[in-house]
Amino acid sequence: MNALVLDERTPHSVPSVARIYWLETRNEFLRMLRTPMFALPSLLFPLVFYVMFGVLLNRGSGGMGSYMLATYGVFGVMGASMFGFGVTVAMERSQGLLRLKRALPVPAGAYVFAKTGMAMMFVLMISLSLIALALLLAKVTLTPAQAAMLVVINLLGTLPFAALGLYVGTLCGANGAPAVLNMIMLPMAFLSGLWLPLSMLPAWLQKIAPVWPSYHLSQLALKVVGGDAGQAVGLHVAALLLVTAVFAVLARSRLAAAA
Amino acid sequence: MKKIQEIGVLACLAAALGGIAWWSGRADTVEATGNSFAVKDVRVFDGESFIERATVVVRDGRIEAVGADARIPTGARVVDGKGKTLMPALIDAHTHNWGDAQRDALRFGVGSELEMMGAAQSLPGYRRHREAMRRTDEADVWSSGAAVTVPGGHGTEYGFPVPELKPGEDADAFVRARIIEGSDFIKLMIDDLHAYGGTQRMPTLPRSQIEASIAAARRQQRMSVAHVAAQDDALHAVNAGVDGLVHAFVDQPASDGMIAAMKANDTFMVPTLSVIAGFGRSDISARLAEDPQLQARLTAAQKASLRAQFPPAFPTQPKALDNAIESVRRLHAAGVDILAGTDAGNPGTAHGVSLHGELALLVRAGLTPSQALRAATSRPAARFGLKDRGRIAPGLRADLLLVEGDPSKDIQATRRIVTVWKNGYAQSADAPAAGQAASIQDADRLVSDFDGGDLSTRFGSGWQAASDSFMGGKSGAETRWTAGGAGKSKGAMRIEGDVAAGPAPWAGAMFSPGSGPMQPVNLGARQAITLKVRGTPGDYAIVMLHGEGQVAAVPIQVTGDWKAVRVSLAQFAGADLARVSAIGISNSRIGHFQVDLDDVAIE
Repeated sequence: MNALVLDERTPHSVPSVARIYWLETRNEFLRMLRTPMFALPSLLFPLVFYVMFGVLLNRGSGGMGSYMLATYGVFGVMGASMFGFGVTVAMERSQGLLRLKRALPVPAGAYVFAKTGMAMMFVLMISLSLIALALLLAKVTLTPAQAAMLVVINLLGTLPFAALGLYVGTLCGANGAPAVLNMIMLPMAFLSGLWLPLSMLPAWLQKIAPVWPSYHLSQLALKVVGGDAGQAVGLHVAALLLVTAVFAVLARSRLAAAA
Repeated sequence: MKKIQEIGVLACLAAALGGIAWWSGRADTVEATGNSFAVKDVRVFDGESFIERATVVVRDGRIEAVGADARIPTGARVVDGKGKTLMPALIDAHTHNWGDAQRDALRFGVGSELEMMGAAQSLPGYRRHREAMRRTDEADVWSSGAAVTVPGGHGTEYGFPVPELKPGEDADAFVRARIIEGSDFIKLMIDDLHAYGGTQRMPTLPRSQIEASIAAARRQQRMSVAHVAAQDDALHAVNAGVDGLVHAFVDQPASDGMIAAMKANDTFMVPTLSVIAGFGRSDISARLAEDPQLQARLTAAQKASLRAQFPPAFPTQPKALDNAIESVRRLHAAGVDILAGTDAGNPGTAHGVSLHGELALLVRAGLTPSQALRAATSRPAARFGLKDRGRIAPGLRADLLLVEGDPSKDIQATRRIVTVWKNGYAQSADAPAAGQAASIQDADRLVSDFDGGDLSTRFGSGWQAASDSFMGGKSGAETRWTAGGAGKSKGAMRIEGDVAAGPAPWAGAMFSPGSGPMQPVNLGARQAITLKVRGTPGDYAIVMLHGEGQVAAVPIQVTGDWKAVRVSLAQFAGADLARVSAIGISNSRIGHFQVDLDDVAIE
């Protein structure tokens, strides 16, 4: 009897895999949205910088408004992805939360999936706000197709930086992670031409710009608004996939070792 | 994963990204900036000869590659050159620059101008401009600065003070002063007007000072060039070692002795056929102003300047153009270097556009289109040491001119301008619109009947005595009211003065119809100037100042008896009636004169 009852209840008490993924993602997003230390800089920095450099300091150059729409979008992607992964993973590791999650009957992939979804939600918010600012304040002309392409590129661009952030999170402690991430992110953004057009940097820095993953993502975004350096799409995509794969593999092996 | 493996994977990633950066650099891509582009499948005139089909690549304002197989970098903006011809931006080897000169020049594809006398204070600005690679809408200028001339000589008559080489003064010190001011070369003024066949004379450099100045320039490593009008003066300058003559002489075609001397000394000539056409009062320049191919880029001021003629008092030499063209034909056939120059800044010329007219005149004088284009590109660059221009070759500045058609077959194709690039930046095409001058009131017809006992006018800003003195001449005139006008009216205006010999002598009186002196008004709706006149018998002229200060004149006969004169405004050939700043009467005969005017009206 008892066994029968148990058998009847089992299918109902175990939620569907999709629901687990959804709940994990939703809760991760809400948790991060309610963490001002993460949410405010991630959401506001790209927007404030765009208003400063793309609108206020931009003396009548229409091209600058659309260039910076693309590059500050990528900057937003880097912040949300790297910090969203790196800092939280580092904290959860040092607090033992990661070990607790392992012990729970949750599919292993849901943890990474939720964080990726959270980061993409932030990226979506940043992208849409930037597009609104560009249209309203910088008087950038953008077709709906261009706007949609920018959003898609930014969303997919989350993956390589999420992988990089995740790897840093497995390396550093909770206190060290934000510092290390900043040390990586800020110079890389600058050297990729995200803050100022690459043409304003010294020639040798322009030459080595393609070593940075953010350069490749920004070139894809710039292709949409017509300000890229004219390299093949495949080259940029290959570089980004390589970065994603390498850091994902490294992070996975570190997480496995940590468990 | 072991630590060592992890480091290995990271190292591989770094190597891969480095490889991508290396490959990107090698893959020859350009930032899509404003001064990088390529023109493909275009006919190229490279400054020397034509290449039927080639690609020209420009990166960061400089030409990177030229040739049938030049590779276009990925991402470069590409201009389709099919059916078009790409050539170096032109060089005008004789100009005088002020106002919009450099802008007008560049709009017509003239990227560099060689100024043959100008204000010394402009020299540092010229230098800075031509050394920069930034975006600009102005041509570059090399200049002689102040010329070597004597008190009262050519170059002193334009109303601004110029240094003068006085008798017995040291030419070496004079030339050194020019070089310190920043002169790029030394220009000598050798002209006493005897080439024009009249009796009028003007002071000029004595031969000893000519020789000393040329020698001084050579010692101080500067080129010397000479303004000449007469063949005997030209021959002397050539034998004294001058590097170039910057006019063809107008009194006779080049003699065999002249040809031999120029060949022996490797002297070049800038014949300036464009300005010489005006000495015989030809309409060659006025026709340029009508050319439909040029209209879009011409300003009203340029058209007015093209239509302007030398003032009636300026010596006329009807055979000037024929003589000059024949000289060019002979000198060119003998292998003497001919350079294209216009003397833009003078009546009958306009910056930029006149060089296209000069090319056609050079072809008329026996140069092939290709030789004429050389004379306006690689030859002046080589002669004047302009190292980074005048040719389409790797490393040179991307000052380029793209035209429709094939100028090797029809030199007038240079007028069908598609795009002009300066420092690699494409220029906008259209001429800036000129300001519209106000019209005068419909009722304002009678200017003065002089019946009120003074020289007052019904509108405008009054009568003024005027003469060549404001341009440095020695003539003068006075105006006053006099009793007893035409047809027993109460009074008239008397103009009395003296005309003294000079390059362009005249004296008379002018009326400004605008609300302020020399404020232009639109007389487009009016028909004629009418007046009554008597005075010292002879030829006078009703003159009009129009456009940007150009002069148009219609000759009239004056006798000792009152006579009604009607001058139709249509008689002022080429005048910009939409912008008239003054009308008046002028006398150019040397000596004392007196002329009375009454009942002056603009109908």
